[in-house]
Amino acid sequence: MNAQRTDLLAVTRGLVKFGQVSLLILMGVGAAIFIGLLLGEGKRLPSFAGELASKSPEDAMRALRIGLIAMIVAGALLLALLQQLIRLIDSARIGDPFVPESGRRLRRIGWLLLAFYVCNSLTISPAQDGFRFPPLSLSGLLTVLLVFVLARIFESGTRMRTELQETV
Amino acid sequence: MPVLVRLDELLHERRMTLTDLADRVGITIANLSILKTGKAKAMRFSTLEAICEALQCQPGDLLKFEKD
Repeated sequence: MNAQRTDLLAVTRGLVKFGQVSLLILMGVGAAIFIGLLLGEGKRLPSFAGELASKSPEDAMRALRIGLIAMIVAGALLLALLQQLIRLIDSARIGDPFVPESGRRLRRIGWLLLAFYVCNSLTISPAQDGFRFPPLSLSGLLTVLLVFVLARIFESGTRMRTELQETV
Repeated sequence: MPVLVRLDELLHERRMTLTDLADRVGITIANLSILKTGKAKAMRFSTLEAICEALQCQPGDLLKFEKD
């Protein structure tokens, strides 16, 4: 049972690590497009820029740049979040997840997740009549709340365990 | 902490060592040592009962309240 749990954690860690590497590659591609747009100085818009590109190329270029910056920042936030998640998994794998650092890590993950959703809401995508902002994710906000509640539970759990350890 | 554990005095009075007590009450020496040095945050009723039984004393003999 314990070995199974450790295996599951090892698999999860591997997946998170894979996610980190994939994200780095995506961010590199995003940065390359952004640099390309800067060098292009609005002369050529990518094919995915939508109809807005033909109506108002300057607006389309500005929107694309904002969207790409938001995407890169969101990616960086997600990288930091995944790093915290790896450390959390490691503390569970090595032995004891109920340490004060776990609560702090979960709280950090909550803030990073919130910042990620805010950034993500600025990531615009091309549409038929121009660009559109992604809809506000209710499930995302609920996840943020859930992480904060979990952080609180971990802090209480850590406190209770310390007390139990000091009970004779 | 204002509540003091007088385990050392009781053991001395009964010419008993911590190891003897540990054997009688079934609590590890490490835990009894935590209790003796006043590092314990709490004490179970079962522990108190076992120590009182082994040392033939009352809880009041083992614990003492002293204002800071």
